[in-house]
Parts: sequence; C-alpha cells; structure tokens
Amino acid sequence: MKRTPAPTTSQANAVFLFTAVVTLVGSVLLQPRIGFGANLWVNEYVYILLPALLLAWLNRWPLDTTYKLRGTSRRNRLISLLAGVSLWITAAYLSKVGKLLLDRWFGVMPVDEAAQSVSASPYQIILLMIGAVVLAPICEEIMFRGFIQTAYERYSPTYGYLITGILFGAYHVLNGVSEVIPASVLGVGMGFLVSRTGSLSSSMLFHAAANLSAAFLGPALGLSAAGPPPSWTHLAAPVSLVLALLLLRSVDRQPGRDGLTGGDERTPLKGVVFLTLTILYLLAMGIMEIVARLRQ
Amino acid sequence: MKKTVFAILILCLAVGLPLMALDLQQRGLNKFRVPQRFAKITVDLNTHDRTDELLLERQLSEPAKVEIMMQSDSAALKQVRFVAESEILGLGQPELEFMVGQVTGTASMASTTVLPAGRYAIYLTSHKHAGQLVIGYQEHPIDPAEFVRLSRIHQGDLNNPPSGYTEVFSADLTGLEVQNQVIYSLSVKNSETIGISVYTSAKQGMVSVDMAGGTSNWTSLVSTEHRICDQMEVSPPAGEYQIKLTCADADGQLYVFVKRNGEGR
Repeated sequence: MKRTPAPTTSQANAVFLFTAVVTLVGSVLLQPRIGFGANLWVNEYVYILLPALLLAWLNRWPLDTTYKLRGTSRRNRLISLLAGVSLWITAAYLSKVGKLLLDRWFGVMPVDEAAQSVSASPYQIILLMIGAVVLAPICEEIMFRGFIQTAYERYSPTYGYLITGILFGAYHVLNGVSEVIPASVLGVGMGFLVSRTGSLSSSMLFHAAANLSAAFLGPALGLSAAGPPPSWTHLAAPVSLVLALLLLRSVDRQPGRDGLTGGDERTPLKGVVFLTLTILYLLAMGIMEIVARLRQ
Repeated sequence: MKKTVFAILILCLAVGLPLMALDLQQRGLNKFRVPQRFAKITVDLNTHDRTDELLLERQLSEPAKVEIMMQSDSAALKQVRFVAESEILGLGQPELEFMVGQVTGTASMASTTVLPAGRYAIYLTSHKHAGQLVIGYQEHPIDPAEFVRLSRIHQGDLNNPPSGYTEVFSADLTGLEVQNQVIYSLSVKNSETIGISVYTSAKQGMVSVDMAGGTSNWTSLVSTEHRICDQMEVSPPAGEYQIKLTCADADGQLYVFVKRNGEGR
C-alpha cells in the first residue's frame, strides 16, 4: 500500500462509503440480536473509529497533528460546551419541523416494535447513554473532524468544515431523513470549532454537550414529544442559533494549527467515484424511508 | 489529550462489555415472557412436522373473553389457528390464523376474542426445526350485559358504545370512497389515557380505520374481517393524533367512540 503524508480525499470518500454501508448492514443484522444500545457501541468502535485509526497506523500519521487529537484552552473548552447546548436547541427544532413536514407530506414512519422491545432493558439504556454521550463524540469526531475534515482541508479550511459537516449530516440519514439538516448544522459548527482551534477536544466537548442535551433537555423541554414543536421554540431556535454563532466566533484561534496538506491537490477520479456512490447510497436510504412512510 | 481519549475508550469497553454480557444473559433468561396469569402450552418444534395438530381444546360453559399470546425463538413461520365452535364476536369467520415467526422477550403475538359458550381449539401447522413455540391462554367470564351489547354490535346494531364513550364519528359506508381521510383529531396530553371503540358492519370491499400521530400509529383498528375494536386503551406520547378512514366498495356502517380521562367528551 502506498503511504500518504496526510489523509487524501480519496481515502476519506472511500472510508465514508464503507462506514455508511457497514453501519446500515451491521445494524440490520446485529440490532435485533444485541439491542439498540450495544449496536451503537459496535457502530462507534468498529465501523467509525477503527477505519480511521487503522489508516493512521498504516500511514504512520501522528494522531495529535494529523487528526488534531490535542488539547485546547480552558476557555475554548467552556465555549465549546455552551455552543453545543445552544446549537442543539436549533438542531432539535429543525429536527421536529422536519419530522412534522415529512409526516404531513408522506405519512408517519412505521415503528419496528419488535426491535424496540429488544432495546428496552436497563442495560441497553445505560449502553445507549454512554454510547451517545461519550463514545459518539470521541469516535465520530476522530472520523469526521479528525480524518475526513483534514482530508478536505487541503482545498481550504472553510471547504473542509463545510463538506465534512454536510457529509456528517448525510450520514445521519440512517437515523431518519429529518435528521440530515440538524446534523449538518451541528457538523458545520463542530467543524468550524476544529478549524479554528486546531483541536478535536473542542468538537468532542461540543458533540457531548449536544448529545447530553438531546438525552436530558429534550424530554424536559418537550422537544421529544410527538407533534409540532412547542410554541416557545419558534423564538428560542433562532435566538440559540445567534447565540451559538456568537460563541463560535469568540473561540480563540490557535496559532500554527492549520490543517495538513499532502499528496495530490486535485481530487482523483476514484475519490469522486466513492463520493458519488456514497451520495447515491444515502439518497437511496432517504427514498426508502419516504416509500415506507407512503406505504404506511 | 491522546492518552485521555484512549483511556476513556478503554474504560468504556471495561464498563460496556460486562453490561452487554449481562443484557444477553437477562435476555436468555427472559426469552419467553408469558405472564403468570396465563395458562401455558410449550411446544418443542424439533420433534416432528405438524399439520393442523390439535394443541388445545377447551369448553366454555358461559360467554367469555379469551386472551391468547404466542412467542417463539424460531424464525421459521408457524401457522397457528384459533377455531371457535360457533362464532367469534366481531369476526366474519369463527377462526383466527396467525403466522408466528421469531417473537421473544417483551414482544408477542396476541389476540383477545369474545366467544359465546361452547368449544374452542388451537391447531398448529409447522415443519420440524429447532426451537419452541409457547402459547399462553386465559379465559375471563364476561358480564352477560356486556356480552349482549357486543352481540348486538356483531349483529350490526353498531350504536352500542360502552359506558363513558362518546360518539365522534358515524357514517354509512355504501358508496363512500376515501383514502386516509381524517375523521377525528385529538390532542393528547402527557400521561393521558384514551379509550377508543370502533365498530363496523362492513362485510365487503375495503375498510380500514387507523390512528396516527408523532411516531406512534395503530393500523387497521377495524376492517371487513375484524369488525369490532372495543375499548382499546392507549397512553401515547403527548401530541396531536388523528383517526383516519380508508374505504372503497364497502357496505354497512361505521361508528367511532372515544373516551377521555374516564369521561366522554
């Protein structure tokens, strides 16, 4: 295997395709057997974290510089946490509006009660909580902001976090079409943080704060209930977005921590092929959800 | 930072793997969860092929509500037939057929029927394969007045709601062609229990009454095959719910009754 000095977009696109496919196939096979919580752990460790670490090991990329696995200032960490909670409110609102529109346009998504019942044990709930609040922020940040964003930063830092944010959102089509835009918004926010601080710790904390909010603030604020978003969120969502933007802008830029570049400057054909296949695959997932809604 | 991240990942594994093992162990212990109140038949599917083999025969001395539930750890489909001697209230035929696949843990296939006095039986058709089928059954004598009410509905006199239920919709289905038309909307608060009774006398064409809202949905509350959905109580997540009607080439009538917070509204 030819080593590269830093992640390339071809590698990023190939790994992204692999992860998107095996996450779905693995979940379909494993989730009914091991439950929702344990399946999330397999997704995070095996399909998301492992490929990124394996590539780093094979190419001898130092994790602290290539994947930006390094710390940042206390101030940045605090801002990241606050921005995570703040932008989550906007994302949760967008998710609810998206669900509502999809329900109205295409019908309600059928519920797999058998799969749900398997996941209902207290052990599964603990696994799900740890998976969402600890593992997902670490594994997904290493994969998306550490690996994929670094690859796309060869064009420009802005291009890097925008593309990665959109890919991060597209990946969440597996959780439902309504999750694509909210996850993209969060993804762009986390990408911006990493681009600005040069540190994955900021996006990991942001991600953990957002997922923790989804787990606890969502039910407490009525954002997890069925039906339209609570009326107060029509105002809270844009206010939270503005607040999150202000917080993100106030993050201290870390000097000398720009993205790495290496290998070719242009995206080779196979990179485009992988990306196209991934987009087609994720589109198919979205269309399958719409068809399932229409059939319901 | 790198060390901290890997330490967290390893710590998570140290906590998570025992949790997964405990969960698998608990699931193995609770593979079949037939409540104590049910009498239980366990069938070893690995002994021989079965074609309409009689598993259970019971004689009801008075009208009764009969609950049955089925679970199996085998993915192969098994046909279970529940056959009543005379009739099953709400059904066009005096029998019910279930195709049972792998259903374990808190999931089950279940049905509640109201039968007049007389015999009923359960038959199984299955190929020989590894696994078990568990059938739980329970009989509750039914209040004579309640049986008379349900018998009237079964005969076509649909306007016989249970106590506390209020009519929210009724229609003559002859000539009615609608697809998922909202016939009633309700706003459900947290922890609220809603009672729903839907009756139809349609014997031909297509009739389906569904309830949907948020991520919850209940499909085919009644159809031309299952004409009585009596006092179904649900506590869905708070939100807006709609009762929808789909109807084509049908005959007969449809009545929908709802009970909210113990009082008709």
